[in-house]
Amino acid sequence: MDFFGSMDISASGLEAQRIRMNVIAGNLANAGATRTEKGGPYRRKDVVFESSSTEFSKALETASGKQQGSVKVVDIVEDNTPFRKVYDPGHPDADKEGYVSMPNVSVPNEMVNLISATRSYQANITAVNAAKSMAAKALEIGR
Amino acid sequence: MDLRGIGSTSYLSNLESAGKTAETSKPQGKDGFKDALLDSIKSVEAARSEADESVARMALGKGEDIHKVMIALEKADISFQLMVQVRNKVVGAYEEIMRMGV
Repeated sequence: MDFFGSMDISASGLEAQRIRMNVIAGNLANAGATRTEKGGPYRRKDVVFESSSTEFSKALETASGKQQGSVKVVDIVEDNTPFRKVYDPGHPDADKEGYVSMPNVSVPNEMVNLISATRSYQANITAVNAAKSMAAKALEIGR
Repeated sequence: MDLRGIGSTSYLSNLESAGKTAETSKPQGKDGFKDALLDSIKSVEAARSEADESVARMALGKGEDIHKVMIALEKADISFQLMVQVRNKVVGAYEEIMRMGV
């Protein structure tokens, strides 16, 4: 049923925005983390969205009965901008000159991304509700 | 849900053929009122059980997203409403026929 198809597309958008939300939450939580498993401070992460409109995925999704035009998170990449240098000689991770490399996370930027993710999520929910009300209206035909 | 399933077992096509000639209206076991209803009920059942599983996964904390649960529930809701409409139409047609004077 086609109404369900548009719902599935919106569901993929919701899923993608939720993953983005997780990544942003991770960035905010690690805004002050100077140590990671790989060594060095935390690097800001970002999501890469992909629309499933490439030829191969189109064929695959038609074959598997999935809905075309959905979005998905294909990768979570690291932001390679340089780390922030903060003068704090008392910090255990400070270098010889007393500077500490802090994560390249900008809290105001992350807040803006947070709002963007929330609004995109809401937009997808509005689309689901619109599809639902269209289906409900269709059921009123002849009543 | 398969809308064509309801269309193919349409009671209307039965009525149509019944109206043409008495000869062509052979009793067919497959396309009765009962089967039309049962088909739509089955398609609702599929959507309902999917919603059910989704809610169960959510309740058990198996990492199900809230939006997935809600969308599954919405799908089940729409399917159910469609089934109710089909039932109303089928029962309406049946009653209409029963009211026919002989």
